[in-house]
Amino acid sequence: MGWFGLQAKQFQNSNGASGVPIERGYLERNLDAARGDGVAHVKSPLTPLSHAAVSGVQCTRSTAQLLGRIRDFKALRTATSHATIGTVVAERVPGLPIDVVGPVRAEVFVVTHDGVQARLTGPDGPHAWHIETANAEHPLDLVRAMATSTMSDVLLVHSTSWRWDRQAVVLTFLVVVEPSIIGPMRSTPIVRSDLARSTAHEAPADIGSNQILEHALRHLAWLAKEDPVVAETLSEAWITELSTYVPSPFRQIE
Amino acid sequence: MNYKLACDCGWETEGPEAELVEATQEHGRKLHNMELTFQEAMAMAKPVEDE
Repeated sequence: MGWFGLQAKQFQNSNGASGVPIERGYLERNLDAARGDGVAHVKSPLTPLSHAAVSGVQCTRSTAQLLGRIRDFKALRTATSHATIGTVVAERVPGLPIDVVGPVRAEVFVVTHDGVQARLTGPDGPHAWHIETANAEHPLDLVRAMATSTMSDVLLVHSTSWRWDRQAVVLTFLVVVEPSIIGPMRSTPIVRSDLARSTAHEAPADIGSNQILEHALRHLAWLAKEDPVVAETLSEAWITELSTYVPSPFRQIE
Repeated sequence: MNYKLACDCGWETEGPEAELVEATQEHGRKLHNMELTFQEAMAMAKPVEDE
């Protein structure tokens, strides 16, 4: 069973890619359904984009998402090369690296304290680091493995909150590293932020990255008080810094 | 022909098709735990206009 209740049968083509055949016109119909949020919810394994683009018969998960970002679908259907396809991609969903997808996404904030101030850093820069999770992997194990494989001197890995964002559960993690490893990585001082507030009936319209990080550090402040291992691991500079945060348990950000 | 691809995390690469795809696949695997096919990588690339 595919998404939208599509009864689908797996196939495997000559170059080994497997996928789900989709009836002609399916993409067009579901593109209409997808335009509201910019992502087409067609899910199937891999098959060539050019085939999907030209014939409209088959598509990939990423292709489907890509199609959801295309305003001029007619131009895409007549495209005959990747170069042409590239020119008709109108816009991408902002904020997500490449094409990170899945029912659960990991969002990681890598932080350190240089003795003067807390800093945000990361292997791909001082911002949220997005990691795709697979069904068989525990998100914490995955984030720990990814963090330790890309950075040395990882002190702590902890989940801090979750939220619903773009058809996925986003699990936020805080990774605390030694300041000595910042060297080759870009970093920026952490700016304090108010938390996102929902109304009695609605979630906040926009939850900014700074707000998520603010809560993550509030949760670290909570852990520093409640978890002896965390308290022993963090430096004096961190403990002093965290004393300015209101301790907060793991929770949904809404 | 050269192509350019920018990841929203800030990472960018530019080069011939094969090199661009290889770099993108490595970036996806190493930093985002993603396995990208050739087609998926090229779908996100844009041709670089000759100056």
